[in-house]
Amino acid sequence: MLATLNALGWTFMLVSCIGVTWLTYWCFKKVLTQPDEPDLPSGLGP
Amino acid sequence: MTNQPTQQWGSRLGVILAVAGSAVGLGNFLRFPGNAAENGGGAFMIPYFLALVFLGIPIGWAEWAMGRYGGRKGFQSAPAILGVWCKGAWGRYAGVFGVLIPLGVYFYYVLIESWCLYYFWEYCTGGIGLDPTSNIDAQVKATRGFFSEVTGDAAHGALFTNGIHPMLLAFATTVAVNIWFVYRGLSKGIETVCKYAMPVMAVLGIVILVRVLTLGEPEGTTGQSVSDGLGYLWNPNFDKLWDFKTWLAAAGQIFFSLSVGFGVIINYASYLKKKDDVVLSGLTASATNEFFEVVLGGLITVTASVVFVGIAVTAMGTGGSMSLGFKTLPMVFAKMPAGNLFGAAFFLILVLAAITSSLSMLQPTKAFFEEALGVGKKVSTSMVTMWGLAGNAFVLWHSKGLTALDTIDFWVGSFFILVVAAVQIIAFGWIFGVERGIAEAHAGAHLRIPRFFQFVIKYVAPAYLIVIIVGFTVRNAPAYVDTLLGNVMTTVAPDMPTEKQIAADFASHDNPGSTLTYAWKQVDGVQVQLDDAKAKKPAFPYKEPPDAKNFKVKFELTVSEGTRSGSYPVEVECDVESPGNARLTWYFLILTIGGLVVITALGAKRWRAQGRDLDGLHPAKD
Repeated sequence: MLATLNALGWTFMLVSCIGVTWLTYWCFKKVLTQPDEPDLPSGLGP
Repeated sequence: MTNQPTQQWGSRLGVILAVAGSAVGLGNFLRFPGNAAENGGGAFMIPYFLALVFLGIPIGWAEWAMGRYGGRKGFQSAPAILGVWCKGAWGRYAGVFGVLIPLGVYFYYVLIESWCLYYFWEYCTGGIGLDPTSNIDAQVKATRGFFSEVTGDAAHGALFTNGIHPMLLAFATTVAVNIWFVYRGLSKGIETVCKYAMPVMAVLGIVILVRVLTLGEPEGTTGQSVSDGLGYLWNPNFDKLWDFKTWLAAAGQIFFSLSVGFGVIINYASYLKKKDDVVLSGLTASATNEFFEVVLGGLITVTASVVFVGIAVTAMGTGGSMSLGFKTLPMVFAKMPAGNLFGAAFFLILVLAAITSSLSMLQPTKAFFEEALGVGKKVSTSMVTMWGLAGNAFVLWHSKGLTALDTIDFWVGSFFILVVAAVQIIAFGWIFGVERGIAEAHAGAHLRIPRFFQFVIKYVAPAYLIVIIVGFTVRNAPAYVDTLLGNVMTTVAPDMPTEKQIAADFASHDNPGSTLTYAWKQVDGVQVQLDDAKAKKPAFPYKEPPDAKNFKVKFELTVSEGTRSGSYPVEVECDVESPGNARLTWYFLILTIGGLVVITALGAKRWRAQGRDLDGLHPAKD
């Protein structure tokens, strides 16, 4: 039988879609608001 | 001899969109939803995102950093850059695959691109001639007939018989556009196309998405709603997580979707300056690809398909990109209000997605010719045009059953990508050194790679990749090797009307937890041996005899569920001519590989004579 979108389906769909949309937005915001050539020291993160 | 690249990107956003454009392709809209629906729905997202974090993103970062470092040494092609990172000739010759992959995939990808253009044109001029009032069987037959006519899969050279098929005009247009923009160069060509195409794709995709999500339950369709369509794709089936195939499919989807190991990112990143960000850029390109894949790919195609043509027909199309895009969705557009408009918009998205990808396939090869042979952009563009056209012509002519396309797609477009990615991650994590590699990636970075990725890049990603390579090879390669050896594997499956009949007879057929059992019995034709007579879609091997012609075999399929059962006749055709086509394709690939190896050897000789550090013995200068 057909299965209408259930609670778990909603959860997976919303978490996945909102997650990648937020990540994309965050990345582009950071790209567009950063100066072109920062001079950060090379090395591993904290 | 300067180590400065002859070309550079116009802006940071430009290179991000170019890499994202290379990654976003037909697979995002067509392959991902089919893969997810078949492999656990929402539960598929667990292995999918794990593969993204532990495989796709770290290998992508490594490739970006390797490319930029190679560029500082004045190299732009995968053979030269991998020679530097692997500190020797073996890396250089492994890098040949980093040119073979984009070139080989271009051989057939530009044909698929021209199919999209042809469908787009047809929808702009009134549709593909489907009658939405005819029954579903007639529509399935019509869409398949149209696809067959466009691809010429009925016989070799089918597009060239009975005059010139209009599809060839779409092909010529597609090739001309690709060559023109690659000739214009990185900034004026590829970057310009991607800067316009990516936003247009996103806007068109969101418009179509809004339309699909507000469809409700249209009258005169299947009685299935948007919620049913979303449920078909997103309701999780956690049992599938115990199946290795699900993890393999998830990793494969991430891998092939992000274009890592493709030979493109390493080339694109080589045009960056030393302080151009690679960490944030790499993450942004990956995130953009994921947006197109999960949000637009995951919510549009399968949902609309379930609403308008039902689950049984949709399920038949989810086995591969071609089926869903070119055979199932036209039936959806035929029933949808303003269907031609939405069909045109959808295929325009596919054209744009395809062109931003195919452009990225030509540039690495063009750069390789320029730096290995020392030729200018006119000669290199001419060479890549001629070589590309030779490959296109080969695939275009050997169109029967699309065997040539499928053979190149499997070996070049799937298997070799895994090999190149493995070489890259080993070179980055073990030969160059993971700490040094990450320090190199951090130069100019706006974002720091979290420390635990050091462990991921050195241990997790290579181990993950080895499991994927072994699993992928064990599951898929034997059939292709068998075909080359003349052993044909034919899959036995009910046709569309029979599938529908089974769905009608057994209401639980659409339920993921269905307990249907299958029993196959041969009733006519050349005696064959099924590999599993109780599988839903078994297969049988057949040894290619000399001068064999295709033949048909008849079966009786008995489907049971509890006390209910039913029998159905099924007839399949055994394509015994495919081994010859597959072997011919391999001869062509061997010639291509041989040519690239010779050019690499000439390049190495040339770079050595110029005193270049082609074995990476000295750190790159700032």
